[in-house]
Amino acid sequence: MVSVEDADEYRRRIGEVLRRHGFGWVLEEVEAQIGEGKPSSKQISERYTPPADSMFTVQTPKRRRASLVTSEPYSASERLEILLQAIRAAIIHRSVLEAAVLNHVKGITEIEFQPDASTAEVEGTRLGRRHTLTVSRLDPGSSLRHRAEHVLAQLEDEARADT
Amino acid sequence: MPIREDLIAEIDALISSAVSEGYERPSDTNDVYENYVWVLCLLAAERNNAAIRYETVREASASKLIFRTSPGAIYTTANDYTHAVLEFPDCSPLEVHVGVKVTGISRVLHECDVAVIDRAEAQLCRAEQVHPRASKVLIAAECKFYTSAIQLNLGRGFLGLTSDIHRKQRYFVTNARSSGAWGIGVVVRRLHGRTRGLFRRPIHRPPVRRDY
Repeated sequence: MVSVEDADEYRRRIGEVLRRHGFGWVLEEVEAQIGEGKPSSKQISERYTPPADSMFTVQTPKRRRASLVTSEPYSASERLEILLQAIRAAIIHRSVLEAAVLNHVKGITEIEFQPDASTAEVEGTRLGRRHTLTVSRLDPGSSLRHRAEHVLAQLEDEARADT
Repeated sequence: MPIREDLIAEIDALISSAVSEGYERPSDTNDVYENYVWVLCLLAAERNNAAIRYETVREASASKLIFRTSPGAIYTTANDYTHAVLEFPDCSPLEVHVGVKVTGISRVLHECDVAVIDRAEAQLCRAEQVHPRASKVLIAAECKFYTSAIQLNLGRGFLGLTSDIHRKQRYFVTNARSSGAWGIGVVVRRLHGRTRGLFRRPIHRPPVRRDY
């Protein structure tokens, strides 16, 4: 495993890059997942408290085992891997989705996304903004995908590398 | 061991290129994801021998596809929004929409990211300027593109929604990995599997009155 210090340093530096380029939302989603912790199962013994009774002796039942869910903090290398997965989604998945859509709608070279109001009214609101998806995006998207695969694979190797 | 500066530089260059392609806006990615789920519905229909064509709000043939960036009224003519028309042998036609409002059982309006609607109902709604009834929405998909695990409140919101727009053929579709939701590949299989029977079932409706 990469050392805790190195994993945290990679995460900090990559976080800076994302924030500087307007991908702060990716960091927010990553932080939300990290903050939730990692769900895992824990085997516990059920506890039995006999009722207070001065007349009878209540026999304690055999202790039963149960599997309950707990949340554990992610390790430093897991936190780094969550961040790398998020970049994978933001870049590689996005590019794959665009290609899947454009390759399926045969005979269509342009898809437009338009808010249901004038652009001036919707900038910065949840109504979204006007943007287009054209076949001319396929090649740059594919090249971006390959570059992302390459650099993320190297970073994932670093995250798993022995110190 | 020091961190590799060359990798940080590569990530920097990569993210910068992603910005040039407009990937930095989460709302744009969500729009593309909804569009992708819309395409999945078309693929499922195609596998069940549907003839597919694209149409505008005015029911003219669409050569350029236009979709909403947020849910709106099915009848709005502010933009020439596109829907797909699915025609099956021996079945009533259907329409596949992106981002339309539908009326729930409680008569409250809800937003459907992707909706497969009985065409007769859709035509009636366009003619009368009303929202489709949830009972006439055969498939509704809530689409969430997330770069990390989806948060619990989203699933909780979806469960609340389904209590008002019927529970059958309602999907929470996400790319994110989470114990309760499906990844991209699984969604494709499930959507195809689950819609197969639905698309084969004949839907008999009286012809709709056309006033326009």
